[in-house]
Amino acid sequence: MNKPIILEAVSVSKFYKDGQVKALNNLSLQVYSGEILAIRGPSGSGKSTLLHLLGGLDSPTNGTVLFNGKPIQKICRKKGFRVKNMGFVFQAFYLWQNLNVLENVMLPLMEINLSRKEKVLRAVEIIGEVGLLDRSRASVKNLSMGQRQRVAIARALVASPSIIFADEPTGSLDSKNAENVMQLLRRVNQQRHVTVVMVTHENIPTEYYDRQVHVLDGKICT
Amino acid sequence: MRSGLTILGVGISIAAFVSLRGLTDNLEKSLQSTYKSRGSDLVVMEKSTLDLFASSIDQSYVTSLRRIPHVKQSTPVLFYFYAVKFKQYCLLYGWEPGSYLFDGFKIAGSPLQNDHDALVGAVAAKRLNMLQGDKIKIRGEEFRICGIFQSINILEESGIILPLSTLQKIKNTPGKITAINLRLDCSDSLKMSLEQRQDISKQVQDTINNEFSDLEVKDVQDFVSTPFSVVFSFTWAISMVVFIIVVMGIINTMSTAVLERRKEIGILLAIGWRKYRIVTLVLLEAAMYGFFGGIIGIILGCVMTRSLITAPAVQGFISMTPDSAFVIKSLLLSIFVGVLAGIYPAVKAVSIEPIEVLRYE
Repeated sequence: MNKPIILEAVSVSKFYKDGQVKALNNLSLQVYSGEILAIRGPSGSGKSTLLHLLGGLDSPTNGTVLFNGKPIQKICRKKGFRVKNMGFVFQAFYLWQNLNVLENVMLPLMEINLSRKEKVLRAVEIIGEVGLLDRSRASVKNLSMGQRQRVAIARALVASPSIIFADEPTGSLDSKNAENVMQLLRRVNQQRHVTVVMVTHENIPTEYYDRQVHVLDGKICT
Repeated sequence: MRSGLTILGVGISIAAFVSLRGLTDNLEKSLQSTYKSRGSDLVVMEKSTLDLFASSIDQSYVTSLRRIPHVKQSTPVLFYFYAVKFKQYCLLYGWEPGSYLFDGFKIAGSPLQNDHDALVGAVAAKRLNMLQGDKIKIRGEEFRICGIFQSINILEESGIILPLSTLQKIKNTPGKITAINLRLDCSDSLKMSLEQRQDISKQVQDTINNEFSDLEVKDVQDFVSTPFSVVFSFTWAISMVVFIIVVMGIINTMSTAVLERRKEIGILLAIGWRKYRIVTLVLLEAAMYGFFGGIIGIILGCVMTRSLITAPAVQGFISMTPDSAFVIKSLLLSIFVGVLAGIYPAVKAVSIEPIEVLRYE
């Protein structure tokens, strides 16, 4: 692969309970800029832990994670770094139930120095991109599961990050909505050149990812 | 529901503060204006007495004090709380007929001329349902109401003025007075600056303190009677308890809210919100409790104060003067207390680790 490495896990381990539980064991992985990487594996294999380490949400017990060659734990402390560079999509969406679609999508923009008008314009543009423009003022409580995940994707994209981490993005959806979400991720990947790191235990059609790795017992076994 | 109850709780606490402070502040103002409105600059009373009304000094000091440089006039006063009718207490003032204290008085009728003449304040006359020419019995002696007077001061207007010697007699304290009011030669001098007047007042106070070891002198500008200062301290202590209740209420509500929103806060931190923004959010919410509770409290407090000042026990002693500065101060205090109470929940909020939330979920 000739693409530059955007994210790299170098010999990372993650132990819990004083080392009794080894979630990840001396694992190394490169993520290339602009690709969709599917991290697959059964429940409890350590794939979500790996995603959290790659996203800088957790620190490895051993090893290091580099973002564009720099230790992620260090640069994540910089003001606005996470918002501007990373987007997160979760299986359970994690939307604010008492806010509407537009307000939910605008949440990351609170950390960016823009006027309210610019924030609204940016959020509206991305809501249009995920096909929910007509529901922008609707409460997220009134949306279907598929629509909620599209709101979560819009929220992840609104600050134009270079990479999106998706933890079981289709895990709560039926097959039709799951396919719509995969299509959406592929579309934003191609149109916005966003790198996508996706964790899933489901079989997904090959056209929706560029590369896949299998995690089993805290190690990559591909 | 919980937020509403918290706001109501804050409101009731602030109402208690507003009514307590409102009453004592107005009482303090009434006391101060009693002296200011009569043109006195200094008040001399017995040293180290707890209560102005317990002060008892010899009347002969009036002449001694008049000899001090810059003292233009000195006049004795005798105070006596007395229930003229059942539970209808009045402050009886013993003044010397012709004293400068009568300057500027509006009297409907005639001034004090005989030993058994009484001047009744307009508020007292209304409360006691008395008119000029009526008779009034005080400690078994009958007095003729020679006039009804008006004053800018509610405490005066709710009192009865008797000739000093008569009040001394019926109180069985001949030759004794409560205090001496002094008017200085600089008090109405337009040529002098405030600093010059304060210097002269200081000189006179120093002279009295040095020469009369059993007397205590106070400037009317900061004169607060000792018993009332005890009341004021007491109300401050109650206010402190009230604020502790407010703080605990908000801490409880906000901590529960933070606990309930643990997931949401964790997600906000995960998507890149900085901790200071979470802190701001929590403190803003706490400040809102303070703000809305403060508004409710001020309205409730004003209603409570208005009801209290019409109670028979205090009627006529305290006036309700609208004070926008006090309202603003109370509201700001309420917001400040809200923010203060928000600190602990805010610290709890930022101690949430997004990874813990995600792992748990």
